[in-house]
Amino acid sequence: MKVVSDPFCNLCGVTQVQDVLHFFLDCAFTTDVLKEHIEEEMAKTYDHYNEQAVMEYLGEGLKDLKRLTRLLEMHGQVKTDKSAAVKEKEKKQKDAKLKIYREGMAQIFEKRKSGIKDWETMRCVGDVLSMNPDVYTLWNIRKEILLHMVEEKTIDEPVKVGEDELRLTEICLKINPKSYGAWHHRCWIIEHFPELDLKRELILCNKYLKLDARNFHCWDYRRFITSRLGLSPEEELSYTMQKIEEDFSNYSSWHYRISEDGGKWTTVNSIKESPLWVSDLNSNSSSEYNIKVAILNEVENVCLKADNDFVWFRKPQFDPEVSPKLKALLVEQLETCNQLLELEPESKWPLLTSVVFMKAIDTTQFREEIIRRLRCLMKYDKYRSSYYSDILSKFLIEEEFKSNELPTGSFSLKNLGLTSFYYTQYFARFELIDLSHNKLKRTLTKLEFAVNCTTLILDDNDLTSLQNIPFLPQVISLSVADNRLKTADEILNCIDKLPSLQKINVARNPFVEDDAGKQDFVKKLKTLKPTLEIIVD
Amino acid sequence: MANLVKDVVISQDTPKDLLLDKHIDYLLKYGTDTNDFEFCMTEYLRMSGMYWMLTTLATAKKLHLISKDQFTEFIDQCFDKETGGYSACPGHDPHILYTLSAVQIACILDSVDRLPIDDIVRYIAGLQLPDGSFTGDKWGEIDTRFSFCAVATLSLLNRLSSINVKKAVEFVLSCQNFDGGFGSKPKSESHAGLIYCCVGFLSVTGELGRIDADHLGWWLCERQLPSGGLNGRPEKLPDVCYSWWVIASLTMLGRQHWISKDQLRRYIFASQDCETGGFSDRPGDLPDPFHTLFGVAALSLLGESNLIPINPTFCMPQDVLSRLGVESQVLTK
Ligand SMILES: [Zn+2]
Repeated sequence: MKVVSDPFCNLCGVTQVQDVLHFFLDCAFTTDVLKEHIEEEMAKTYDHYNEQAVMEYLGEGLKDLKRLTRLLEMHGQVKTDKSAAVKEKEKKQKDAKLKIYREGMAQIFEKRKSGIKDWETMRCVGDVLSMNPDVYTLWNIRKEILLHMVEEKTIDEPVKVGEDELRLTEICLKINPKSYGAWHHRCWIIEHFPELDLKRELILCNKYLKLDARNFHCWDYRRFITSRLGLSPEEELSYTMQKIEEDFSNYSSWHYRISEDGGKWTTVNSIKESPLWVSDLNSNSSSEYNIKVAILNEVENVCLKADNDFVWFRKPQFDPEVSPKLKALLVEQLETCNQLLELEPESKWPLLTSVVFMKAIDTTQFREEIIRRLRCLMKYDKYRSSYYSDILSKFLIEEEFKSNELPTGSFSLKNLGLTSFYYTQYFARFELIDLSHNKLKRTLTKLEFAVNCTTLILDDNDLTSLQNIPFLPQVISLSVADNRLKTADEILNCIDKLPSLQKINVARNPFVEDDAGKQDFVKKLKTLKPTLEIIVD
Repeated sequence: MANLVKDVVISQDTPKDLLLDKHIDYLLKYGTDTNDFEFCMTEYLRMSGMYWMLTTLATAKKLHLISKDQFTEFIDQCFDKETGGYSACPGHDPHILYTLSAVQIACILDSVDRLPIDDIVRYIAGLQLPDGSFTGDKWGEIDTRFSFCAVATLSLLNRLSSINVKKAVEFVLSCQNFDGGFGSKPKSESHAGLIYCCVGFLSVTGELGRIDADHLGWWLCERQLPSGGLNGRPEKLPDVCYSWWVIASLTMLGRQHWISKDQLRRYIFASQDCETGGFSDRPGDLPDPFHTLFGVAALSLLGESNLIPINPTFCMPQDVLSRLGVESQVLTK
């Protein structure tokens, strides 16, 4: 098998027998060489289909089937140059096939119209489906006829009928392993023919998954069968573990294992963002309000007090709870990552995994190392550098909130290299928010929670636009000096969203580079807001 | 053969910019030969094929090149009075997939008022099960794709309240996995196409706040391979259609910048056929209308200047949705 292994494995790593066959055909071997290699390969991987089926598959018109498979799937059809003679021959074959298809379809629709529900129609439908398994209406017609026969009690041997149906879906799945219609028909047959042997189905799934462990239709089908069989989760787990051992990188199996494992998985590094709720209070009323807060299914009684500005927050919990046992395990795993990094300091997965571990073990202890490794990732995994910088921003903001114990009054996140906002719902309390000397360049929409902010400082960022600044009713002073705002309109168009504004600083932006720009801007802004204090340099 | 990175190598001589005129020629020519083998054998998805073609033309500002009547007449022929659904082509059975395509076509051609809206709503609402999920037709296949089709269709018709949205949301959320992604039903493996459907579903229903966008966003940005193309699952080859599903999902989640846009653009450009026009799944493969739409749509999302902006949720031109007053949620970052 030297011929196959290299190019094939590197290309897509699939050992599905169809692909192996196609590969041989692509290589245009002579018939004898082809047959010898195929027999050898069949013996290795293709044991659950009988030889006759394989030879049928190899028979006349295989090239067309292959073309059709890829067309129906609309993937992976390689463009090749063909001679005029080859094209002509292919055209003839296709015309012949098309004729059969069309006549078959016409005949079936005619019978359906006349209400004929017999075995002859079933045969006809089966023939067309084995040419083109994605004609969903044909699967429907089969089901209609079968239901009719069950109702009329004309099915004498349900096991045979059911098995024939399963066989038909197998033929179709050979043409297109992802045919939704064929997979669903298989489930439908299992549901409607309880006499069928489910254990046999399980064995078939296992064999098929040996050929292509990533076919999620087959995993779904296997799940369908095991749930009908009532298999215990332990039995299922042992099967999945076996598949993982066979192919360590098999993501489908990993997925299956985690789903079956009682569903108690936790993510180490995720916290859902909670929204902010604001309400107007009656001005003349009491110094206390009792409210009920429902978060998911937990209801909490909360007292809003005047000396706390009538503000209540659910205490942010940024660090996950990790049991001592798990922590010990994580420390061990972190050590392994670190050893790998000593050998290859630039390798992505140990860097990324170790960051997750360090966050779970102790963010305070590892703070600097977490920051350093995330910055390394920004450098080494360039395509995703914005992901790492956003995640770093998130981490740094968490750290600020932790060390500050949710301050009131003013809050500073300056000079942290932030590219993104997180937890802005906690901004609701602050009157002065300083976000200067960062790398903010995207939308400012998330500042919408800063409902009590009177002074907003955004100096020295990478802002190119203020179009998306949210409605900030209390802001009196806004500073956006040292950014990349190119036109006066960026300010003029957003001024309505800042109804309380009294002072604005736009110094050192491109649009106020020269005196003309400055004068023009001041003039226009003064027409909109005559009393505004404007700083342009 | 564990842990192989599967990817393609983009050669130097592949196209470096958008060959828009060629693609238009390709689409207008496609299907003119009604005896073409491939064309006939794909009749079971004709309605979606028409939507692919029309959306591409509309995004390229070339809708005036086709006759509107030809399409609206086709839709009429595919309507099934009894159920209220649409089939892929005349004579075939109604299905939710083609009902969405038919409604999308009518929206793009500004002929929603011709649609039998009450019948369509009855059809869609009738496919919802007590657990909130949707079947594709009366034969009972359940899939999160159909949940998306249901809410997208109803939202385009401004009739979202005709189903139990709360239950529908619960079902879709029950299909979320440990990796943040979504599958076709509970416990099914995460897959970019189904993630698009589920994120799109939550965008239509305004429930994107229910998911951890950072977690899912990370899984999605990990789909970008060294060639710049995106795959649909770990360890799979890159593909233009998955590139759309991933980039559209990231856009809805407000995290489009988590991948390299330039590299993705390069991959999509390389998947054009410079001879016939059209896009294929990967450089060097044969083009088809399906990948042509998703290539053009992804380029539009990436800000290509010759194209009009496309809506990431509906995969339809934004101006069509604005005209209809249809809104969809997008998270901000
Ligand atoms: Zn594709």
